[in-house]
Amino acid sequence: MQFWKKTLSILTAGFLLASCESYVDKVDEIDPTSPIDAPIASVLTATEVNYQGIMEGEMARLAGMWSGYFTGSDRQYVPLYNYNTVSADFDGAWGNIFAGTIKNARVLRQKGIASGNRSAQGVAKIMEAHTIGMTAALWGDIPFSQASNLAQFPNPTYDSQTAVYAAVQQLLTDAIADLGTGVGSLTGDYMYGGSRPFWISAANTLKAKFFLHQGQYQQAINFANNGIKNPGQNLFGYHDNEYQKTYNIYYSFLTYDRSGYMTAEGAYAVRLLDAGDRLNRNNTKTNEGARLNWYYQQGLNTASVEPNVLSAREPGFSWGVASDGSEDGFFACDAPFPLVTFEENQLILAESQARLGQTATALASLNLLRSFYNTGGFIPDGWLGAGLLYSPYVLADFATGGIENRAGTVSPEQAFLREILEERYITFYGQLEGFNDIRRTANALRIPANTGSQIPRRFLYSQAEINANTSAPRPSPDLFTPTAIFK
Amino acid sequence: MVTGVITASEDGAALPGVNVIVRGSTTGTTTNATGRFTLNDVPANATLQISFIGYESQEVQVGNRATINVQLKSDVKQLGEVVVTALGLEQSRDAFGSAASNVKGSAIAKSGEATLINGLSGKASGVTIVRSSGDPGSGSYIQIRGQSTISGNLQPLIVLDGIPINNSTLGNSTQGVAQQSRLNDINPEDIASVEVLKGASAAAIWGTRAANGVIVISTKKGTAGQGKINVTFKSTLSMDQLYKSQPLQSNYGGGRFGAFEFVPGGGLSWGDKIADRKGGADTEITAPNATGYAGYFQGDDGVKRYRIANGTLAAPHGGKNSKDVYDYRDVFFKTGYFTDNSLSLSGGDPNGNFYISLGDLNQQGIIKSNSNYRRTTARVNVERRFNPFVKVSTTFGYTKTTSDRVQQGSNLSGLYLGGLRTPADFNVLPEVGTYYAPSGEIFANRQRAYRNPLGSSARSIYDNPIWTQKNVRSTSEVDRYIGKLEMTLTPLKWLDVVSRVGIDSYTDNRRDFFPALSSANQGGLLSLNAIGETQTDVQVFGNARRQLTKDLNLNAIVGINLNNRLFRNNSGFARSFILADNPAPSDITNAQPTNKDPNFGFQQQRTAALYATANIGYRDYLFLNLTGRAESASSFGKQTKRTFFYPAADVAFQFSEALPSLKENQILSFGKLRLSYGEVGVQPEPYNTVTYYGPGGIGESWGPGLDALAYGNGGYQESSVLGNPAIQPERKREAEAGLDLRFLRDRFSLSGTYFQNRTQAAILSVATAPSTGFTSRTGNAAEISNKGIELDLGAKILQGNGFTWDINANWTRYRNLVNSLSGTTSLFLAGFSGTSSRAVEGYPLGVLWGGDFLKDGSGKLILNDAGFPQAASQESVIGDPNPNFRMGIGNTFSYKGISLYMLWDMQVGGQIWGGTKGVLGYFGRSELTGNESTATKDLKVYNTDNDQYGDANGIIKSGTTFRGNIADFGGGQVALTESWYKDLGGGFGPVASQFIEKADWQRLREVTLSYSLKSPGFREKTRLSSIDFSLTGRNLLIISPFVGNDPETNLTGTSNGRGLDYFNNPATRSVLFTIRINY
Repeated sequence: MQFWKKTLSILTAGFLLASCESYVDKVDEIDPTSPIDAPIASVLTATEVNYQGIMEGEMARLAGMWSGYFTGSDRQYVPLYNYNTVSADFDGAWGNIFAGTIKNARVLRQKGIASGNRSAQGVAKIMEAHTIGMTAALWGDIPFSQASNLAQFPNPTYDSQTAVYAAVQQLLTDAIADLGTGVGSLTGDYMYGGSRPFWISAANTLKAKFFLHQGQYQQAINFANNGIKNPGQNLFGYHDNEYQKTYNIYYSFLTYDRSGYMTAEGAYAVRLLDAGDRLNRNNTKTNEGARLNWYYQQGLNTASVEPNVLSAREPGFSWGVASDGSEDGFFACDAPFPLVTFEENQLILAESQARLGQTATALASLNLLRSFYNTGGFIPDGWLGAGLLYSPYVLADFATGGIENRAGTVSPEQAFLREILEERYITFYGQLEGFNDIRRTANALRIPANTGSQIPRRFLYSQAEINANTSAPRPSPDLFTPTAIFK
Repeated sequence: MVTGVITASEDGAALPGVNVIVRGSTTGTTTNATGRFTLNDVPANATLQISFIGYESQEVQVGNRATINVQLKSDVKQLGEVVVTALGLEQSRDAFGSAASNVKGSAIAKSGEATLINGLSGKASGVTIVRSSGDPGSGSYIQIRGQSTISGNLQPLIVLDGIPINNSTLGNSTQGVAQQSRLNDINPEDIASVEVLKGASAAAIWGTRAANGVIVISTKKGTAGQGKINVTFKSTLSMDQLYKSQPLQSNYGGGRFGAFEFVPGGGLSWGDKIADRKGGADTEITAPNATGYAGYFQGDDGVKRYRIANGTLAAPHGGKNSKDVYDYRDVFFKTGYFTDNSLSLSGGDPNGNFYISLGDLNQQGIIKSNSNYRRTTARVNVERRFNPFVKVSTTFGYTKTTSDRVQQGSNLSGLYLGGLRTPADFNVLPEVGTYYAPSGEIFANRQRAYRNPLGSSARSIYDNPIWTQKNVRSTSEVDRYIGKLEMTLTPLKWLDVVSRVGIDSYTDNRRDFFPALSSANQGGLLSLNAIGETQTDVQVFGNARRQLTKDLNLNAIVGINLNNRLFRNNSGFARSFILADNPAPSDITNAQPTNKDPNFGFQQQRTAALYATANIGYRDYLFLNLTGRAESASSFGKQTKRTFFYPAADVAFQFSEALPSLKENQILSFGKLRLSYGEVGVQPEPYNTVTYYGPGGIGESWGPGLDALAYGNGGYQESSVLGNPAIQPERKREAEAGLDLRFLRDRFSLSGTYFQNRTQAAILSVATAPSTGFTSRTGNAAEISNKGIELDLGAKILQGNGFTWDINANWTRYRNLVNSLSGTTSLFLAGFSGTSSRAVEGYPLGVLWGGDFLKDGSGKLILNDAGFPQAASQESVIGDPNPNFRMGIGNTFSYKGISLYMLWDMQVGGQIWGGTKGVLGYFGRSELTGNESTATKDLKVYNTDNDQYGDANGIIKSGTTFRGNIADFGGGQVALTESWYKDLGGGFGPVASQFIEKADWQRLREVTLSYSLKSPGFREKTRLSSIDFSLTGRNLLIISPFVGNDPETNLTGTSNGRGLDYFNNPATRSVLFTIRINY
């Protein structure tokens, strides 16, 4: 009988233990190694990183190949270069735009509202506006008003491209107002170091940019006049020399991740810059030697011309370049990447003025930029020896027989506009805006298609989005269907 | 009162559950777990009927004895005797109501596989074991009855001696090394038997974790002899060879557009025709003042290698004269081998037994350098009965494994990636040497590779396959302890109370080292991981047996189970070494602070459950089994009810016993009908209940990334994965029906099972539209169903005269369907962005997904003007890795001491993505691209701009012989040449569907010839009880339409996605010789 009792007590003890939940409750359902919130400063930094990554990353490379800046030379980049692309190729970029930049910009805005930080709201709106505006430029109709609100809108509708452009302008107007209050800290802002006036001028340049996209030239001029007036106030994405952390994204792709995939063999931009090519744009007032050498190099990995990745700060490698960075390439590992610039602001002014017939003002706007270029201040010293000259143009240069209209096949006005567009094309090297210009201007510069007769008119909607959003356009427009604004 | 112990005659083991009945009365009982019975009120002249399924019944005169010990002889008619249930208890197989396959330990040990699980291949129906790589120690994918979950673990629960153990394979991806499965830590020699419990009802006692079936492994025990210690020594030597290799063309050399290039542009082999070369030594540019002089490279062989001038359109060979070509198979591989020695001691008496073993497996893989696996094991199993009430047993196993692996897959340092892309005319040796630059600078220890043929650059783009074997190291060192302590109390003769505590703990110290010159991690990478998993499991259950009435027998179990699992990974890495020249220091000081990261991974989950089973036997032909389990888990959110109940029931009806008309049937000797139904749940992986913040930044599938922690004061952002606090368990419901038949005094047996299961509310990471701000959300979103048939056949074809021939065959077919993904069209499981294995609504799980050609509504290709197909802009299902059926046939012939076993195994149906071949087509290296064709009419090429052929209109004139193939896509013949393969027709193009291949196979998986020397004369002379010799061949023959690798290969190892071949390391075939000495 003793065993009976013992057993019974063991069993009873066991069944008491079977208050199972108390045993499992001692282990937390939440990962003890992961946070579930972060302060404004951290989210601001992270959103800026996302934002620069969008502008500089895979979309810019693809647009760059379709704009004649780069050439797909190896493996998957060969079909991509030849416009053989599928929806899934856009999953990464689309995910990073919406679930990275836009989402976190809105989180940041909410946090700003909750704590009364107007400045953080302002910067969040600028990043969102620039990102969503470029997304609309590349894809046309996109989710905006119902985006980033899963609880309410699991299938966000697609707002028209025009509606998104209007929303972008509103966001920027609000951002300027927010920043104008001076309320709230911008700790964590590594791009502008918390300078509200700089952000305000960048917001004005962005307003000008998107008005230009829509052909609203007077508006573009108005805002560009309040835009970035000094190269020292350019908005850059910043880089350093750590792989997977701070490397310039182009650098990382071109050297570490996918060397040889993307070169500039036969690229149209090289031909424009290379004095040895019959298409080159050098003239008595212009010498692009330095810029060619800054942008491009003779291949390290292949025998051909490649985007310039030379870096003095590359650890572990001897490039045979000057260690003071004076021979760094445009895509050096720590080279900053332009997001919103004085150069662009100036070119928006010049183009808009030229298109409104304000030729003299336009010429002054262009020459102001050329005078800056002529100082060589924008290029590492080491390249200057290859030749640099940007003397001011005069109207006669565009008249029949002038240096920019030798054959006289176009009117002086058209020749002048062509020069502005060509300068935009060269200035926007590696940036998304080059591809926007091609589509906006109906390829006024006649950049040759890589295959067939036409350059794509848009990006494809992401496969992940098509799969999961019942509101996604069906059928999806193909690559050669123009968007409403860039008809 | 009469008591006694019933034991088995062959090994003296106690037999529980034996019926002991006084003839002609209602008095009767069954033996307890120790084989002991007690009967009261036994008349003096009584006769006891002792019967037990699987054994010959006996009748014993009691006389005036009070103790009657009986040894039962096993009934040779019977095929199987007992089933080891999910709790580790033995139960009569013929009373079992669910499908279970048993594999004897000896069958595994002699399979020739170095690891336990591979030894099960082809031996049990309903079980698929896929060896994902031929690398030593690499993990295998186990699947029982089709995939029944999507994102959760698909691997079955492994129960070793009654306690669950870890069977994880961590770190498999599309690149890196083939990882081990922790199941490999068990020495196959220690295994007594493996029971595969396939059905949900048999497994329900383990609840959540049994959703994918349970594999119950029992290790060996000592046998109760007469105090004799049995000593067994076994030694195996295995020779392993490469047996499936990728066919490559060797007609054309490195280069482009039909011209030789010293550094082939893009790494291509679209160069000059080797047979047209002049022959003899190459014309090198050796004069320092000559044009194109590039310095020279000097390796160990002392030969100076200089640049060779490139070819041109007019002179395609340039300075290349040599017609030598090199076969990678001779250079990368060797004959691998392993030795496997084990020694065991065992013994016992009726009150206790012990088993002690030591084992050492030492394997060198077929890859020439640094591919090895060594496993040293020790095991002690002890069981002791102290008195009629207390029995204690303990099992303890220690395993140490060390291994070194070679990189594979989509990996610039992968063996095959650079290796197979190397042009036929490039000798990869020497792989290292000194580069003398024209400037006079000297660079020692430079890697030389085909895209860096002089070692002039620190970047080789693809690593030389020999260099990467020797220099890129991935080692792993595992220490593992598995222990169990069990106490059985028998307070009443019909009641046992079992308390069982098990601990399984291991640490896996991994070190991955990429030198500064490696291509996958330029600048160098050292990554250290200390991975540890500990699982603690406590079981307390009461096991009661009662004879309720004369006809009704009850066996009831009530118990609790507490389980705690803990995972830790302390890791750190250093990138871009400061001291880059080899040998670099092997700790992570060697990098700038910003290039070093520590990391800590942690995961803990707990499960607690209360369970009960009742097994009711009516007479000896109807058995009903009921199981219920209430389970609570820590991984549910606080908003969810955390306790769930899973019921199961099965019934076994032996109609051959029940129906008098069949009882005496001469043909049908046994017949049983089984029906079962069970529910199990799958608890979510931990930590899915909330939306986290994580280190901010952005990453691209192409590789580049920005880390917001390195910016400003450090950035955190909200995750793109949405948490779900209301997550519920997945529920799998399974019904099965089976028939077990035996004929002609059990000479033939047939067992068939039909099952159907449905998993509802399957947990998965549902892809959400990125525009919602999240890319995925964990939820109960999918419904999956499986149905299938399993057949097992046994036949003793010949018997007598010392010669026997037995056949055992199994056949399995299952059909799997993803019924619903809650609106998500497709879900990524594994693979690449271009081709992946996915879950797609309306298709079987794991289907291959990727780009296809553009087609019209009727499925006809839409061609371009030139007659070539085009890419569809959206991806779709392009293949299915699931087979139609699998079959294994084992034949055993024996004559006296000689026996021959042959296992023929096959898979019919199923597809694989031949990514390797597709990409080698791009490079002009696949066999197909070495063909020459002659145009019989004018043929269009794909794209003149990117081709060596075609006139201004892109036409190859009739009568021209060209490199490539002729195809007709429906618009007339076209020429498939360089531009086609480098674009739409190649593996880097968007159309993956053209590389889907059949993955059917048949193989002679195992052939074993063994001879046992155990004649009385021999025993007398040597005092040994026997010496066994065996010769085993593994994978001796394989017939498959898939060339290039074993069609079982899978790039992502044991992950839930399958059917992907992309520069996977190759599989092996082996011949083994084993000697076993028994004392």
